[in-house]
Amino acid sequence: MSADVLKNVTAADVPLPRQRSLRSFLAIPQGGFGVGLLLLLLALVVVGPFIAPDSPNEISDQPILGPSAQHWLGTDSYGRDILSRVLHGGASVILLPLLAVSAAMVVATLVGLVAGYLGGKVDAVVTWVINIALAIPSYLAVLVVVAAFGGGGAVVVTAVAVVYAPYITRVIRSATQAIAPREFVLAARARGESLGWILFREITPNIGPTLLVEIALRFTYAIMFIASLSFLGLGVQPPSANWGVMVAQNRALLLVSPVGVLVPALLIGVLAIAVNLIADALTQFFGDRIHERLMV
Amino acid sequence: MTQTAQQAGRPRATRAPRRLPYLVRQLITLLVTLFAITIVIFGLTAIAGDPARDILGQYATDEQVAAFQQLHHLDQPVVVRYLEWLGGVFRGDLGTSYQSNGPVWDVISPRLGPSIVLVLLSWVLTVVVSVPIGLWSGVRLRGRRDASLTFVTLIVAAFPEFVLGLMLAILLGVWLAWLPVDSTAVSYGGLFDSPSAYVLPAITIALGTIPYIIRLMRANAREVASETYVRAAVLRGVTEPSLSLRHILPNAAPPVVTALGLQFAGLIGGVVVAETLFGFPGMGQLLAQSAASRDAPVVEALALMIGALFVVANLAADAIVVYVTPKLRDAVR
Repeated sequence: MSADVLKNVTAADVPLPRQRSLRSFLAIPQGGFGVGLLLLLLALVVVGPFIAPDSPNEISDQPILGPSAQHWLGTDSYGRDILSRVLHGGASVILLPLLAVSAAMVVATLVGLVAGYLGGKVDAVVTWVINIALAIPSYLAVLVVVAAFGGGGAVVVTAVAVVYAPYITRVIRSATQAIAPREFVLAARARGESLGWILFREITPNIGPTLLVEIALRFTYAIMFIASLSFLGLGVQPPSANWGVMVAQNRALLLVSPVGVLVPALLIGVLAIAVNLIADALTQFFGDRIHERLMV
Repeated sequence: MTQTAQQAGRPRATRAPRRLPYLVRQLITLLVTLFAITIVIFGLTAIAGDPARDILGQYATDEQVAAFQQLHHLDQPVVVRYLEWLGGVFRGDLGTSYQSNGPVWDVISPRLGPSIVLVLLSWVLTVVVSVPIGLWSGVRLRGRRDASLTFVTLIVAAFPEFVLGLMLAILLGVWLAWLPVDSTAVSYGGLFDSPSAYVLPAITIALGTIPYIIRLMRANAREVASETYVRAAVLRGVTEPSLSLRHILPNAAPPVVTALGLQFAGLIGGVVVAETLFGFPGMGQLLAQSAASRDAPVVEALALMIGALFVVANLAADAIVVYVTPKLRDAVR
C-alpha cells in the first residue's frame, strides 16, 4: 500500500532550486486565480468585523427572517443578523487549520529529516510508525480523540496536527532521501559539519519546494477537515460565529431562508478552493514530482 | 500483448505455491494493524482519564459517580480494562454505552443496514461515474477541454462534503423539490421503503471521492495510451470501444483499484458528514453524536468496526490488483 510510495523516489524526483519570479507563478492560471481569491477572502475576514452592521451575538426579537434591506442575509433562529455573523466568522476558519498545519509541519519536518538522512534503525522505526498511523483513517482517529477529551478548538487542532504529521513526515522523508546522497551533502559531512548544519543548512533549503507544496496541500485538507468538524458540532463551539458552526445551526432554516446557510458554506468552499488552486500551481511551478506522483 | 504471449513467458507450475506466502504475509500485516488500531483507540480513551464527572454533570453525587465507575469498570487498571474490552469484542460483547446504559450492540445494530446500503450505493456511484469519465478524458480529451475538466475536478475536490451536500439539498430539495432534504424516513419501515431518502446522501458521499478517481483514472489511461502495445493495437486495426475497454482499461485499472480501496477512508468522513447533514439514521451519524456526547464505548466499537472494514478493504484491493496484473502475479513471493 503506502510503502510503495516510499520506495519509488529517486534524486531525479527532487527539483533543482530554480530562480523564478512571482510574476511567472501568477501567470499559471491556477496560481493567479487562487492568490486573487485568497486575498479577497483575507480582506473580507480582516475588514469584516469593522464593517459588520451588528454585533455577531446580538439577539433580537426578530428570529428567522429572510433577506431584507435591514438584514441582507436575514436573521437566524436567535434573531442574530446573519451578515454580521458571516463577517465575524472567518477568522477561526482560517486560523485553526493554520495552527494545526504549522504544528504538524514542525514535528514532521524534524522527524522526516532525521529519518531520511540517518536511515538505518531510526528510519525503520519511523517508517513502521508511519505505516501503522496511515492505516488508521483520519476521521476515526479524530472522532475517538474528541470522544475521549471532549470537543473544542484546542482539542481539534491538536488531533488534526497529530493525524496529519505522519503524512507530512512521509513526504519530507522521501525528499530528504533523494537529497542526502548528493555531493554537497557528502562534502559537508567530509568537512565535519554538525548534524544540525547538514539537516537545516544543506538539506532543508533543497527540499523547500516540496515543503511549500506540502504546506499548501495540507492547509487545504485541514480547512475542509476542521470546518467539517465544526459543522458536526465537535470543533469550534456555539455561540461562536464560525462559518462551519453557522451552517450547522442554520441548517434547520434551510426551507425558510436557504441564503443564510448557503453563504457561510460557500465561503468555506471558496477558501478551500483558493488554497487548493495555489497548491496545484505550486506543484506545477516547481515541477514537484513527489507530489505529482502522490496526488496525480 | 496477446494472451498467448503473456502465458508463454510464465512458468505456470510455480505460481500456486508462490501465492500462499504473500497472502499469509498480508494477513499478518492485517492482524498487526488491527491490533495497533485497538491499542490506539483504547489508549486514547484511557489517557483522557475518568469521564464519569463529564458525563454525569457537575451536580452528580459521589455515590452516582462511584456507581457509574463500577458499572463501566472504570475503577479497574487500564490494562485489565483493555483486556476485558478486547476479550468482549471476540465474544461479540462490545461493552455498555455511557449514554443509554444498555449494550453498545443494541445502539449500533439498527444503524448497520442503512449505512451499508448507503456506502455501497455511493461507492457504486463513484465507480460508475468516475471510471468512464477518467478513461474517456485520458484517452480522448486534449487541450482546453481537458484543462477545464481538470479544473472542475480540482474545484469539486476542494468543497467539503457538507458544503456540497448543502448545495445539492438547496438545488434538488428546496428549489426543485424533487428529493427530501431530510432522510429520517429511513428509520421507519423496511430498509428499502423510502428509496428517495438515500439519494442526496449517496450523491454527496460520492462527490467527495469522484474527483480523485477521475484524476487518477485519467492520468493512468493517458500513460497507458502512449505505450507501444496500444499503438500496435491501433496499427492492427483495433477500433475505439475495444481499444479503450480491452487494451487500455485493464492496464490502467490497478492503481485505481488500490485507490478505491484507500478511498474507503475518504468515504468514512463523507458518511459521517452526509448522514449528519441529512439526518440519515446510520453509523456515521451515530459516530458524530456519540463523539459529541462523549459516549466512548460506542465510539470505540464503531471505530473498531469501521477500522477493520477499512483494513480489509485495502487488503482486498491489494489482492485484486495482484490478481489482475500479470506482472505482479509473478513478482509476489
